Amino acid sequence: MITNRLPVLRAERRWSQAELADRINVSRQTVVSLENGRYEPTLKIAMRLSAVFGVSIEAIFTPDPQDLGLVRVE
Amino acid sequence: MTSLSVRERVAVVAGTVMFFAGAVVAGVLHALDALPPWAGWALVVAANLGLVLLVAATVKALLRGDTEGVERQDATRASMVTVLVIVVAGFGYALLEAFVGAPRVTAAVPAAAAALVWTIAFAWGRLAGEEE
Repeated sequence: MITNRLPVLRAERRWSQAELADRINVSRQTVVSLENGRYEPTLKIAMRLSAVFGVSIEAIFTPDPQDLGLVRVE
Repeated sequence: MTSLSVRERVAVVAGTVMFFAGAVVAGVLHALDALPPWAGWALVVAANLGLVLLVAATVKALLRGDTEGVERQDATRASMVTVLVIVVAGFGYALLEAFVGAPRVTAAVPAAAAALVWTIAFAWGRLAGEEE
C-alpha cells in the first residue's frame, strides 16, 4: 500500500482537512480518504499536493515495496 | 462544489415540475378511468421530457466542475456494483416470475432499485473515517 505524509505535512502548516481540500480544489472527503489510505490520488492531485506543500511528490508518498517488486528493469 | 447557473436552475425546476405534473395527472386520470390514449401520450411525453431536462441540466452542471477526487473512484465502483446487482437480480426475479408465480413488476421497479443500489454503493465507506 502506498503510504503518505499528508497528516504530518498538514499539521506542520496547521491546516484543517477542509482548508487543504479547498487549496487543492477537491472535496474534504477526498482529503479524508487520502489520509486514511482509502484513496490513491490521480497524478493530477498528487501534483497539486506537491505544489501546495512545496515538496516533491516522492517527499509526500512512499511507494509500496511489493508493488515495486512487480517492476522489471531490463 | 458545483453551483447551478440561473438557466440551469430554471431547467431543473421546470424539468421537475413537468415530470411530476405529467406523472401525477396521468396517474389520477388513469385511476379515474378518464385517461384517453391521446392524453396519456401527451402527459407521458411531457413527463419524460421533464425528466430528461432535469437529468441533463444536473449532469451538465456536475461535469462542468472539477471531477478529480475520491468521488470519481466511488462513482465507478458504485456503477459496477449496480450493474452486477441489477442484472443478477433481474435474471433471478425473471425465473421467479416464470416458474414460481411471483408478480410481474413494472419497469419502474428495477429503475428505482438501480438508483437505490447505486446510492448505497456510492455512500458505502464514505461515512467511515471522517475526522477533522
